[in-house]
Amino acid sequence: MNVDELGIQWFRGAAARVALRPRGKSVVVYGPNGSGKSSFVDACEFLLTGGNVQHLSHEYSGRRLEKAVINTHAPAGVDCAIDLRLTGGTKASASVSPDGQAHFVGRSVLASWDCDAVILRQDQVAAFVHATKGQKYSALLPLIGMQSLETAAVNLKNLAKRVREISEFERSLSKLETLRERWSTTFPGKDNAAVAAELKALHARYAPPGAPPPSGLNAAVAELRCVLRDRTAGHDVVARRHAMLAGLHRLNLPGALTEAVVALQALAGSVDPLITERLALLQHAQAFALRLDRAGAMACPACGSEVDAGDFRRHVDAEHVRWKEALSAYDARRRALAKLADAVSTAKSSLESDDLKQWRSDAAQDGIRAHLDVLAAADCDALRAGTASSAFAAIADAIPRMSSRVEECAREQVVGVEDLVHDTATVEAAGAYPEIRSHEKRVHSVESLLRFLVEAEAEVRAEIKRRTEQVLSAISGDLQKMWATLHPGEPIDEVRLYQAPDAEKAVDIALRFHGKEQLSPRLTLSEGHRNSLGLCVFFAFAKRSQPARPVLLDDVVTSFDREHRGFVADLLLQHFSGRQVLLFTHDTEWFTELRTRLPGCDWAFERLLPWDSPEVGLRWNAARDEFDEAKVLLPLDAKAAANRARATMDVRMGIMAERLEIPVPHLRGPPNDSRHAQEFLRRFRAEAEQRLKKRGPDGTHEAWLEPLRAVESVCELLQIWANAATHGRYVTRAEAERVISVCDNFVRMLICADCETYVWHSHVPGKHLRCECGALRWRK
Amino acid sequence: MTASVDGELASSDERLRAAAARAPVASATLRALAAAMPLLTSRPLKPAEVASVAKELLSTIECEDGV
Repeated sequence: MNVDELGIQWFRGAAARVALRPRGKSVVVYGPNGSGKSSFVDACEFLLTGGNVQHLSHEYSGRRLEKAVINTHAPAGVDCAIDLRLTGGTKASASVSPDGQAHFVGRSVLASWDCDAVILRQDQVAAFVHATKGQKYSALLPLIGMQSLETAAVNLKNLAKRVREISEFERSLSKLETLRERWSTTFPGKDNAAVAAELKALHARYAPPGAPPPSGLNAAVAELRCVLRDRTAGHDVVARRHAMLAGLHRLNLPGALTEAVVALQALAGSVDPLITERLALLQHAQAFALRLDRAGAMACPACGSEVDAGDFRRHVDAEHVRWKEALSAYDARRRALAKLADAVSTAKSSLESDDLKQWRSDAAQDGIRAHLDVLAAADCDALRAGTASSAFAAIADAIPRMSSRVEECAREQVVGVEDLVHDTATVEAAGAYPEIRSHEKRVHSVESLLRFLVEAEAEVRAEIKRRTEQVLSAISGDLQKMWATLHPGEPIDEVRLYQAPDAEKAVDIALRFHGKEQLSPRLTLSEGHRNSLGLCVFFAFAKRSQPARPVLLDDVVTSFDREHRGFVADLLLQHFSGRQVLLFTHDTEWFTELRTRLPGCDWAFERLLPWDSPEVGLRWNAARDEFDEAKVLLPLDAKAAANRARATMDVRMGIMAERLEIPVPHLRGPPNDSRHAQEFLRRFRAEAEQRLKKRGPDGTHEAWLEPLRAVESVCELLQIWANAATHGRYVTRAEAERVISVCDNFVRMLICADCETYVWHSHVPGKHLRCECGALRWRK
Repeated sequence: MTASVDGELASSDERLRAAAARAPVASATLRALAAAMPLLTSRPLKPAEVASVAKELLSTIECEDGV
């Protein structure tokens, strides 16, 4: 879909409705500075973005840009409005009320028009070149068509994170480690078989005579628990209580508490200063990294010494290690708290048992009763999660006081019970085996799932990388061709996009400068060359945007010299002929050049008059070309009209000589770029007799002498009347009219009457230039 | 569903199989993630949606644990 008509009223510089009517063709709009060209571009951006024009958005423009987009002198009761009609008839429009409220209609037809890929302004030409590697990657994503893959990769990453959280993976891991540790403490250096053998021996000792030996470790634990419970029940209350207290003592609550306290201290010691340092360092690192992106080496923000990228990366790596250490401290804390919570949980169960209730109420325990109560009421889940700091403090206070009394009681000799206590503990420790297996299986399953999700994300990322390489290669191909068109024969070549090897989502531009590889254009390219490269990048991206959309170029060649500006026409013709281009320029010479080079069948040319006042707004110049403008001056100032015609001829003949490759001797300094039309015309006359041909009625091409005769008149009249600098004589209106007419007629002779293209429209290599239909030829 | 999206999803199945070759999972888990891929590819998911898919995947390993 192309732009058919774009109308604006009381929007920016416009007053009553004014419309740009490309009718689906490309268009070049000339207007002097401040004539209102950008009002059309702003209107387009306003529609595409739903009311946001980036360069107008600032503290003085109002919340809805109402102070920037509405004509300052818009009469009360009239609408500020934009209307866009596309080829095919679809429309989109916006009306803006005085308070800035915008009402849009039909904007959905522009949904696929990415503003950054449609509009390029003068101050944004080199934006891509100057962008960070990550910003370049983001700009490329829609073109690469991998938004869905990027979305999938991010979702998979979040999914892995959620699986980890929901499955309480860290907690399961911690529990497993605690169980394994307890097992190895009770059965140091013993494997399952050795433990099974030990249980078998216990079974032989405690089981009734003749009972068959248990078939495995789990069966042995189950049977021994029953047997030992019966044995314990057979003892008196004192013996049972002793057994319970001995078990409580073996929990080693003070040891678990010490581990937790040490882990918490270690964590506080490592994390507090680390976080403080990180906050300060992050600010410096951000500024540092930004500047590092622009240059290979720079002054360190801390000490001022020269630092290169490699050193910086090593420093970042070292910091990474420190963060990992802090994480490991967190891990140790979690394990220690889990171990303490398990021990406290077991202690609570023991204290609540019937055998110890009496012991707790004994007067002998008066000194520690409050501590026993604290332990009995402990919230083990909160303790495990580390969320109950006051409870932790109370438990930390209770455990040492209570433990010494428990140890004292546990050491009281009760005949026959000591072995029973020891063996019961052994069986209970062995009883953790199924729990260990269960946790192992759970941890393994979740671990496998997490690994799978990580691998799935890696697969998607690899696909993104592979496709990015393909697209970058294709875009780089276009880029190289476009660059070669804008800079033929220059020692800067092999311009290409590449994926930065040191980062995931990073793209940059490389090139070869006088044979040497450069990983960034910012290392060697001038501002003008960067702008030129930015223009090539914009075109290369736009070329790949699907569906095809128009592009709007607002004064994008202001930093180009005359030669490179001229090559932009080649760029448009060779690489962008299938797209609609709405090109705005204030450069009258370039406008004239484009007019002589771009085919009228595909391109329209419009001119704006200088802006006068807010009430008058934008106005199109009704004059067909500069000769028409000169005619307008005739009744006012005949001499000015003649001079206007001469100035027009100076520009037009310069372009003609360049296109027809008519040699002119080099002049030293500025005169080389400011020759008069007569010089070109004399050279033309010398060359045209042999080189200019016109197709006759029989189809053969013969020398065409009519323009040669016209040149005689043009040269003669320009020499006499039109050079105010050297000839001060009075010019009558009739004389000026004749100068304009003769010049206009001569220029028209270079345009084919059939196809309306200039004689230099097409190039037949090694043979000739010709108009589109071939009726006019200029032999090489 | 457009042809290109169909193609993308077919490719995503291949990618999941390749991932499973390096990090083996139960076939039920693989199937569950393959079934979730259209959603995961369509748009950035909200936390609740991610949690729902996560629970679905975990249920596949719970079943296996049960077996």
